[in-house]
Amino acid sequence: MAGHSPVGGDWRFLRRRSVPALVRRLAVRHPELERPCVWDDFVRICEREQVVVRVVDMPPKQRGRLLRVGSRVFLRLNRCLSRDERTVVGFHELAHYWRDDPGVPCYYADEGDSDSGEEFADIFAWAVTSPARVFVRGLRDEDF
Amino acid sequence: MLHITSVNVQFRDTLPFHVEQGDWVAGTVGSRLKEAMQEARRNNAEVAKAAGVHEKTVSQWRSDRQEMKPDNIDAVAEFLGVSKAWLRYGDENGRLAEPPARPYGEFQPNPRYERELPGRVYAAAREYLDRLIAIERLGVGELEEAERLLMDSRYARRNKREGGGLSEDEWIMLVDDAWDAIREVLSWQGIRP
Repeated sequence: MAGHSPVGGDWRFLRRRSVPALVRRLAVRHPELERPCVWDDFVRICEREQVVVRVVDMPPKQRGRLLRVGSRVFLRLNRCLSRDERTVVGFHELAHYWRDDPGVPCYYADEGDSDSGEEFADIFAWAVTSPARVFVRGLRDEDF
Repeated sequence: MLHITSVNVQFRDTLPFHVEQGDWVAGTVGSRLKEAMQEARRNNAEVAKAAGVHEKTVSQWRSDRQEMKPDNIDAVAEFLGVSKAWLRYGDENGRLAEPPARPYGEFQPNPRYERELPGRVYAAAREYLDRLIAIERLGVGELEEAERLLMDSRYARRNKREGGGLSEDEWIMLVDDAWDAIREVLSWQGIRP
């Protein structure tokens, strides 16, 4: 099964400059993405995507991860993170969910990996949460 | 034991209502209600009106987060054109639906995890897995999935590659967390491991 994108299509091979394109297309389903997102926006988007969010105790170096149990997807966030940090990490994990989730049991641990999937997720998380967005009228591919 | 603070997010249950090998569900009142509503092309508001409850209550019924009272079952079954016995028990004769039988001896824990994981980590994960094995309603597919979740050996490879990655205690924290997620899903289906 291809990446679990609510907008359709195989997103597995997205490159970094496709982040703005993904944000624009996801904003059709999640209008919160049209402006800098905060924790409450993240929670609403997860509810709409039927992703179960839990704030849990995790090792300090583990910021968050996705777990798929049956048909349920859990997004686990480290309790030691601040609210803003949880928001960024949460959107990082959602990027994995939309782009990389093959629909089989797996989870994503995020420490030390440097592949293109991690880079994409990092850029996506910044793109949707950064307050700097208010100074940019629409994200452009060349912004990245 | 992990202390989990859950974000108050409400979801619609997405579990399929047809039980197939590998599903975590063996058939619930909620799943049958969803099936009947779909067949009758009725939405939550219409069922709520027929039962004399709030629309949100119907949503809770569908996800098995709230139990249907006998008079609710009677009213909803009549409205949707299904038998009360079927809605309540999953069986026209009023018997509880038989859980899918797991062939005896078919699931065998994968020995590679015992080789790859540190002793304490494997012991912690295996204890949880043994609790799941004791639940006859769970099929081989679910047990294999649970085993992969509990005994994720990627940390072994990462620790070996990077040196000094997760400590055993930190790794066990993640095993405990995976168990909490599994247990939560099972609780939604009325299973208490």
